[in-house]
Amino acid sequence: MNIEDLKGLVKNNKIAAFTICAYVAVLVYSPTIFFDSLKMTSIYFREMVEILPAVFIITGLVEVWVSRETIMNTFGEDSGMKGRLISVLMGSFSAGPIYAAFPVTYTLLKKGSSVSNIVIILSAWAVVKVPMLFVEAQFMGLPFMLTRYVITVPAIIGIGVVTGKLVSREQLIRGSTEEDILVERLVQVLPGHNCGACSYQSCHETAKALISGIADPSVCLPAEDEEKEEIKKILESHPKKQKAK
Amino acid sequence: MRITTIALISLAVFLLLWSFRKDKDKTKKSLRLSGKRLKGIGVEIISILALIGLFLTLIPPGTIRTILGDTSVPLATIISAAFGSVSLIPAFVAFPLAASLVDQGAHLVSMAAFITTLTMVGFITAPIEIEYFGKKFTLIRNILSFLAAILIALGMGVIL
Repeated sequence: MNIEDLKGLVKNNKIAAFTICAYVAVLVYSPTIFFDSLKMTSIYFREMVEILPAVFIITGLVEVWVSRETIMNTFGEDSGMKGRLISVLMGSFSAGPIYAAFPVTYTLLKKGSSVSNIVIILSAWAVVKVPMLFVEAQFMGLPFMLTRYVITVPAIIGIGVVTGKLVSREQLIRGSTEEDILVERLVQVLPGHNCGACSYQSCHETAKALISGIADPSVCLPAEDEEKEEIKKILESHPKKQKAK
Repeated sequence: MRITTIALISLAVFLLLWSFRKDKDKTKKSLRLSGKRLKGIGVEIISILALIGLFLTLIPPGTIRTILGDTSVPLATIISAAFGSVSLIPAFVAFPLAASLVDQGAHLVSMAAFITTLTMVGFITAPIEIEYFGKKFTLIRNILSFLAAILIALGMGVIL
């Protein structure tokens, strides 16, 4: 591996690089802290391994099966108070830490949910989960739990509504313009290794180059023939973009 | 394994079987999609979990206990909210911790702020959030959640 490859790898995995550096520094400073941290991390890691695959399987299935209309009617801009309450309920009956909620809510957003309902689901997922309430009542007492619940639910809805006013759907979805939608579709077909064999930094960049006609599907080395065919099909369905270049 | 985790995994398996019976190709497509997504974000999540592990080892809950022990309620509330914001602790660890803090004299108001920011505001998970929703959304959501946590805590101070 040469220096350039390493630079690219670090650039694509900034947080991982930072974490590794932090751990190396700690190992030099105090091996005890290093191993304690690893032990602590392994607890979180176990939770992640238990929950994330299921979360991603469900989001994938929702993406394939649930229609845009259904999501829009339930969580869209016009879903009103009912949509907000369903959002609170959905967040309440969830499992896993908040980072597991990001992929779920992102899928809903892409399928037509409003920004405010996304925030409501995220917040409810974080603070008023039903299993969490049981633990809370056990340790903090029932009055504490109930008071917090009663105050928190309206607060969550408030945060949702305000965020919805400040951020628009279009700003959030990478697939808001026609070209973005195309990029998104291609990225889903591309292998997603971000290997750089095609000379582009990431699969996202490759997708852009494919659309503008600069690159040919054959530049992608890890893609199987079947995937290259699919890429060609997607590109052909948008002939205008290809002619533009 | 906790019951919610089991429920979640069962739901995923059930939906997967249902989907597979209805349409093999669609299911395969959805699984490939899931796999790619998971791979895309996996390294980032593992890195952040490792950072949380490091953070909680460097600043163990016991230290927080001593700091909060001898400060006034308003200051303790802000410190609790701030500590809750940067870290991410599962509820089954957070509540026993909060309860032990109350036993040692911490005020309920501070604990409400602690619990709310702990779970809702996440500076350490912000990179993952940005990956999905962008910087603006992440910033606004976290700031609003932080403010709401303080308000919720104040509200609880009035009622309890």
